[in-house]
Amino acid sequence: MVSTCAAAEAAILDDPDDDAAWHAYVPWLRAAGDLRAEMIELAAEADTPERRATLDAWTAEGIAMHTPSGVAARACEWRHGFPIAATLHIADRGDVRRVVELMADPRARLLGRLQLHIGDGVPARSLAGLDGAGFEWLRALRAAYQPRGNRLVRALVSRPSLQLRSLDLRHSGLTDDGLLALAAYGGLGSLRSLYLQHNRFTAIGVSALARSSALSGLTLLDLRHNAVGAAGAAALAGAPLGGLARLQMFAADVEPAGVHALATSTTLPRDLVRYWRAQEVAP
Amino acid sequence: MSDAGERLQARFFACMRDPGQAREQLMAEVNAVDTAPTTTLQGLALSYFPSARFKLLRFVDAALLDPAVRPRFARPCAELPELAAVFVDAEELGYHNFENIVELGRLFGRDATARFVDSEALAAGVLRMRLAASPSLREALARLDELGLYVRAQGPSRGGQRFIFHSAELAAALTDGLRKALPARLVRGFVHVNPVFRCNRFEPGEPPFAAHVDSPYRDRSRGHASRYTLLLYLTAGRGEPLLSFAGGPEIHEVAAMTAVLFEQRRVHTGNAFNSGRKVFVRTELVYEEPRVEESPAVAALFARACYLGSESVFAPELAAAAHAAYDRAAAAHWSGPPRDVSAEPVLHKEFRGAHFVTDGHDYWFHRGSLGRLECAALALLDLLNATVGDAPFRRLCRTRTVVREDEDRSWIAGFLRAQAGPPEPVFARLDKPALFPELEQPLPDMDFPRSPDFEAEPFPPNWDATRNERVLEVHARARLWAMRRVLASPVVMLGKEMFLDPSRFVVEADRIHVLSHDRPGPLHFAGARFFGPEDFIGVDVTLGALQPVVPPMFFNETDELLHLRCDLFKNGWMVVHHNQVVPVPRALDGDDATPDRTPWLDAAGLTLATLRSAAKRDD
Repeated sequence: MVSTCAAAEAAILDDPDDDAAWHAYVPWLRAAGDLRAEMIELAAEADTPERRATLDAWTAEGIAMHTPSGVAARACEWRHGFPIAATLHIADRGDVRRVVELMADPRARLLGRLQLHIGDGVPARSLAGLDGAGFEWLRALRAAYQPRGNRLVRALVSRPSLQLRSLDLRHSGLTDDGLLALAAYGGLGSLRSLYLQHNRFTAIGVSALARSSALSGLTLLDLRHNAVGAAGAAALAGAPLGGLARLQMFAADVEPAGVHALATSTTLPRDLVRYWRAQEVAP
Repeated sequence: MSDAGERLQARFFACMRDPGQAREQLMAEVNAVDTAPTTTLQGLALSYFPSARFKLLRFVDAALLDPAVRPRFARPCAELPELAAVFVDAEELGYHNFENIVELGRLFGRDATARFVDSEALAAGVLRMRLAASPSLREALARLDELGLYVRAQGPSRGGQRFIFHSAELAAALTDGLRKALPARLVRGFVHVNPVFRCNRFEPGEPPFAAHVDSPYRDRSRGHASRYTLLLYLTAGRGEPLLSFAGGPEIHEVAAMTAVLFEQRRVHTGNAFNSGRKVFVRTELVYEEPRVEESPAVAALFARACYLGSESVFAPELAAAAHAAYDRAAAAHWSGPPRDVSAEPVLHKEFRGAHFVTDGHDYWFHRGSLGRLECAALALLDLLNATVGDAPFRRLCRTRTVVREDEDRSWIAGFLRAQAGPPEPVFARLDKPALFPELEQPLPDMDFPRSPDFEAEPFPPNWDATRNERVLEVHARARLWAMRRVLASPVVMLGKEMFLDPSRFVVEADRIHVLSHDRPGPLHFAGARFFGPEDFIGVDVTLGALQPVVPPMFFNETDELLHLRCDLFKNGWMVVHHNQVVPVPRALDGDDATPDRTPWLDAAGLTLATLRSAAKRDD
């Protein structure tokens, strides 16, 4: 049995597909009189269509009761009667308030993945309310294909710390200001995947990001379709990113000098360095 | 360079037509010219004119050449304008493309008939006959010598010039004629004449074709094997002797259209005529041999002979050993497995700090510095002489011939132990899926760019090629096309780096299977001045994806050594490989794209239509 209820919940947030993590949570649910403990147990034993149908019906009954504030049940992904992921659309301040309500609701305590669709016409000031949203236990946040990346970063870095493993801000109009804020923030030590393709930042932002020790745990960094330039690539080549397995970037975006810097890096993993070495054009 | 290239090309063929011209001076000029390949065909770099690197003349079907450069290649054979002359780098050749077999079916009409008359037994197993050919066959045979397809024989033991051709029509006519003329004991089990022919030309005074035994043709899957060699002399002449067999007989004079049939086990020597040109065609008679069995020792010897023969391109001193090994292998087909021979050369090779010893069939690696799969991959690259970067693997190796008097190979462990290991792993690992990140979500209702010929600003305000539905449709297909090929390849090349994929090697008991992708379909090309979705798909990186189709390698390990055995000549296996060029697609921003330029499709050698059908096939 895990030592605390919070540890059991953290294990599920880390990997909601881990059956062992759910089973470790059962005693805590039983102690709280939560019938979803039986759902978890039954799921393991639902080996016939009849049993699965019974379980599904039971789950459907419970969903209304367990749906957190601020979100419709159908906008959530459910596991054993808990919402584990949700998608919200933000068109105005009312929607922002609903995000804040959702993140504050204990019924969303196992909701680890959040996807925000922010309308193109939503002004940045309308998102100010997100500064109070409790994103602390989120493991993955995706706010892609919208123009308010910088404002979202401001909301994130307003929190004392985050446990995000994955942050997806592709196509979000992110500029150097946004990257500088991310780089200066010390609460992203758990981050492993950072999707930043097709934004508006330059080598200045990338260099700041590369110097940030908060990102040293990254295994995936996607910078495609950005003006990274030779200077940005050189900064990445000198960054303490020894665990980086994927660096998604086009040679055309970093110029020959950038390719050379990456090809001669002494801090990036060797296989990654050799991939860039292979792209060096012989003088 | 094109003018100079065209001049060299013209002079080369003038020199071929009239050997009296200053060949040495021409070759000196050829050796002083360095050039990039004009194009590639099935992974082999080609030039349209001779140069220091591309010196070996070959003939290929012109239709297979890139139409953009096809007109630059000469068609020196007026009778066969479909054949283009290309120059290749001999060092790039591997087993799969070592021989240049020219299709000459068109030369021999279906009405060609052959009769063999005046049969005379010269000795046991040696028969002389006269070919009474139909006028069309006689005329076609006479034209062989004038086609201009000859290339200089490789290796000093063969002498003369020759070319290899295929003609089912000629084979059918000869098969029919022989079936009627041969004694009953030779007709029993006779299936057909091999349709692959060697046409040889010797000028007076040229060195002989040294004593040798012809290698028999074998097809274990069909239960076929050749037993007799057929020589067909197209010109008349005298020689001293022109053909002799060990233990007799000797033939001193032949008339044109004389046929000599002899058992392939017979050791024989050919000499030029005293005067006049000696031209003859060689093939063999194929018989049913249901009990054909390949002795591993014979197979190994044959593999070693082939390897030494191909290595003699780099080290001419190996030619004699290769010739001896060929003879021993050929003789062993008839007289049983060969005895081990001492002093047969092996090669010590070093590639980027990795050392191994090989004779072309057996490979030895020191286990301390290389993993099992790395060893298998190195052996594969060496056997196939795969292209790494822009150079053949064997040229990139530092090679030393080692000749030891002792037969056993126990010295190899100590020898390899004494070598330093590679400074870094020879093969890197490539995160292949990282080359193919998920596509972006489509943005509905996005307009498509208009023609820049009619609009100053052709792009709609919300233009984003990475999210346009029409571009995404092409991108998805291109991604799938490239992904299938790259994921399937056991060894991927990018620049000079090699990336090994352990999942494409399957170790099962004492053998290693190498997996790959099937060959893709034919390639075509296209062109206009409007944007199409395919204009927005560019090339991220271009990979060389090795796609070998080879039999499994056997291995055993001792404390120190990994010993691999690879027989690429085993019947039942069609040993092929190609180093497939796979451009990895990327979406282009508006500024990068040009109407009617399709960089990814061009790099892949596809049109939008063929990409769509290829993707459908892949599905």
